[in-house]
Amino acid sequence: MPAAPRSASRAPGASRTASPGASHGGADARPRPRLEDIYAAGLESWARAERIAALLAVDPRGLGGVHVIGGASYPRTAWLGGLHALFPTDTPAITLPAPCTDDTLIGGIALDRSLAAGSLVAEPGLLARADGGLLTACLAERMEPARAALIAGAMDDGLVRVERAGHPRTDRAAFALLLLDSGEPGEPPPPPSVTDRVAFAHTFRVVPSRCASSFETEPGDILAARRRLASITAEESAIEAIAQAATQLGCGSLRAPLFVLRAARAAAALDGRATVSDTDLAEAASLVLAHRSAPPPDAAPEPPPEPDPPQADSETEADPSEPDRSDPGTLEDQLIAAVESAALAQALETLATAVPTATSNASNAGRSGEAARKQDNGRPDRPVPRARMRKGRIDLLATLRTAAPFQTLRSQQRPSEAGTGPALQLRASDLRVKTYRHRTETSVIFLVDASGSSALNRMGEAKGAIEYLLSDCYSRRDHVALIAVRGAVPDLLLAPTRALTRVRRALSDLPSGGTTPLAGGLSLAAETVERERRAGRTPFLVILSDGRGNVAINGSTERDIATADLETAARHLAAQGAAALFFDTSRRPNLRAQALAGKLGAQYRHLSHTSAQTLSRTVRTAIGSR
Amino acid sequence: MPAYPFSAIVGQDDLKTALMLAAIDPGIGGVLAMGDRGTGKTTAIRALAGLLPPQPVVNNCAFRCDPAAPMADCPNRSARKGKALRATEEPAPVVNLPLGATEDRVLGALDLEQALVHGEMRFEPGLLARAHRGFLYVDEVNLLDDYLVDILLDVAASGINTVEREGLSVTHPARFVLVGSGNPEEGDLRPQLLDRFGLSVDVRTPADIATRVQIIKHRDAFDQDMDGFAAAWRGKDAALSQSIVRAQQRLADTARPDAMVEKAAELCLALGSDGLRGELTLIRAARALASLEAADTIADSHLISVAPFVLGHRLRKDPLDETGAAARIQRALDEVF
Repeated sequence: MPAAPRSASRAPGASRTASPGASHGGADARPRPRLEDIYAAGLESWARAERIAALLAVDPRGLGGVHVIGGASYPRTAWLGGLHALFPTDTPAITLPAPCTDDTLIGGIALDRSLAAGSLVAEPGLLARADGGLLTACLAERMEPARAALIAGAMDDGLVRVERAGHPRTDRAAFALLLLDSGEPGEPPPPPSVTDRVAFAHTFRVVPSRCASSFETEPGDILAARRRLASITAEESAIEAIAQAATQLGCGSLRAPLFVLRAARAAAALDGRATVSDTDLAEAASLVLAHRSAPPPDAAPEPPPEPDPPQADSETEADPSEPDRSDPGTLEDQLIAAVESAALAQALETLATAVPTATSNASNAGRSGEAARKQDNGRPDRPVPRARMRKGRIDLLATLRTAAPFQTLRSQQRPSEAGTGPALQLRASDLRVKTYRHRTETSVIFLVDASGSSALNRMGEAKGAIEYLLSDCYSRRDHVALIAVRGAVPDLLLAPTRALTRVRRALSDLPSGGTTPLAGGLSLAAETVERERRAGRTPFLVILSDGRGNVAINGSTERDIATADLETAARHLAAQGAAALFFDTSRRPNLRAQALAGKLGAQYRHLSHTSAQTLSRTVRTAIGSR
Repeated sequence: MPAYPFSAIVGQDDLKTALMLAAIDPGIGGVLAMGDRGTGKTTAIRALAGLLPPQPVVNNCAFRCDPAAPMADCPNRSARKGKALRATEEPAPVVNLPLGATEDRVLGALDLEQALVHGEMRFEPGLLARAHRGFLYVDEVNLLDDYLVDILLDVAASGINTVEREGLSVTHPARFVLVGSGNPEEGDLRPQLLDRFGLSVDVRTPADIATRVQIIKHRDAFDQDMDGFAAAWRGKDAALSQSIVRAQQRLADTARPDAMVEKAAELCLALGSDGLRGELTLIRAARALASLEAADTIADSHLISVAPFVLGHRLRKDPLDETGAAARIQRALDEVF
């Protein structure tokens, strides 16, 4: 393990507490990673996390926040506590509940006070209350794009505008955002509109708790750094190097280089330098760019020689105020090397702490029933009279609106109440109940068998048929996912998306030939079905295959295992209960495909019996008839 | 907190030009800016507010009526029948339509306070009324919910918002320039909405380092000292604002030779774009550009410059076909000119 020597030397110094790694007792199935590797990686990760916290505390507004990946764990809790402690005590800390209305977020009407006062009393939302502090969004991976857009808008301006004519209000809302993302493999990441607006991302893995010691940075250091921050200068060459490095690492967004610059400033302020040094830049680049760098679409230019490992930890270096430029290449090369070594270190850390997935199952507990989360969480629809709907929450605003026109009349009818009674006279018939519109979005999952046996038959026609179906999906605005079954392992070519041009591109690039890991394809489909359900969409499966699976899930090509796996996978998928259509792509209708369709509970069609139009009609009626 | 100055935006010339044209002639019908994240779409559109010339608005008019042409049944006007309308100059609004806005908030609804306190049925105008004679901006317009898209389509087509609910019956003008932005990777736009936009701009992240460095430096300078930065660019913004005002004044006098109409029609034919909206918008946008450049008549160069904005999103296509719109437009331009 190449990363071990450097950090392992630090591990003994930190081993103050006892109970060595008892938390990983149950992991017997695989060769267990060495304990010192786990400690070393844990310490390294913690040092990185602490540095991120310190930099954020120095410039919370400029750096935007942190994308915190990993389920609830001791290190995560300790880090959040440590981060908050770095801020002055009167700093607001607001937690955004996972289900919350727009009114809660941007501000609405304080009903109790409005009713008491007889006039509308506005109430600031959570964004405004987080002004000058930290806003924590739990379950960020479930954040809806609409809510993300509101938060992103507030982050751009540092303001929330409440668009109520008559009471247009603008509240200050300059906050740093902590996106708590459980980071489960099956879940999509939080909306990119918010992740792009926070400088850092850090993954908390389950590590021995002793690695998460208290911060070395003191709140006093932060205050001093904040005072210095405005006067820290950056040379023009530094900005150029940042721009170069970000571009070469494939960070298109211009926020990335800006974050590097600000993080470098914060680092310089924290370490008491007046000018941003190359070390600051390297550190900032590795913290900001490592998780953003996307491999360029084509073969990447060979990165500059081997990355020097100790680039990232600045505290061990002796503050080179006049760096030697000639030796390790230009500044941007150094930055790129720093980022790449950081990315490498993270990858190694993942390996080192590759504790069996039991941990992720543990954090899964209490998740059941999530599928039903949409129950009162859709797009608000018109409120309905309570007489028509007994269940549901009272919509106070709508109730007031209904009652309002009759107030004069009612107080005339019962004048005695006017003086002493409530300012507002409500009748049962005024009550309105909130309703939510659940757009039943459909997600069409294509499972395409592109293996050799299928290719021999009718791959071209299958592709044509899918293209035809795609234009249908476009007009219905379905989400579409594409699973390709060929070669050794099936491949989720495209996670569900509405950008259908991407589907089309993926499809036309799809090569065919090779073996048929159909069993794996079906279980991948089952996972996708489950994930789509959780996202509140109705999955619909379209399978194009000849039904001849010949690779088992573990990659074996033994016929018996492959067949058994196929049976199991088919039963598992059928148990998900998603509506499915099976198009047989073999030359003639074949029994194996029919049997498989039967096991899947899918409607069976043979492709040759189906022209493009009837194909599309078949799918449409199948989707419509559910 | 001052907004980022429009003139300090580095690069993004297409987007800036398209926004200026829409400001000069709102009849062009809005701007759609699609592109990657972090390319300054939102910054440019928000900065536009600082550029828009002030307009006369009837005093205390909740519907932002123009004193020269108030709405016939505007409640404010009937209230002061016979009296001359008094007006003040106000900056043209740039109203933000958030993704999750409720129907009430967008269309307007019963004013609760008035109803509760005074027993009076009064209409509380929504975002559409506030955007009248200005800009309505939808960020992530491709993620906008269908019910809001329907509202927008309806009102944008008629220029009138009609509310019939809770015993209210209100009709008010709502003519605004629709500006949308979004990231095409996250979803497509509904075709009807796409068609509503007069101009579309493909916003790309600048590839050359010099531009990127310049952008970072400007943004950094702004972050370090917002007021100072805004003050330093105020003169340039004012000059741009003036050029919009002058272009508006010249607009009616800019000649439109018949040859240009023919060329516009040929261009649309060559590209097979549906309907006549393409030709009409081509001419309007070319005229706005000619006025901006202080030209007396629309010339070839104007048509050529605006063609990508006007036609880029109007090409008849299979929704899934993506053979470069820009390349097709360039080919048609080569044919016609």
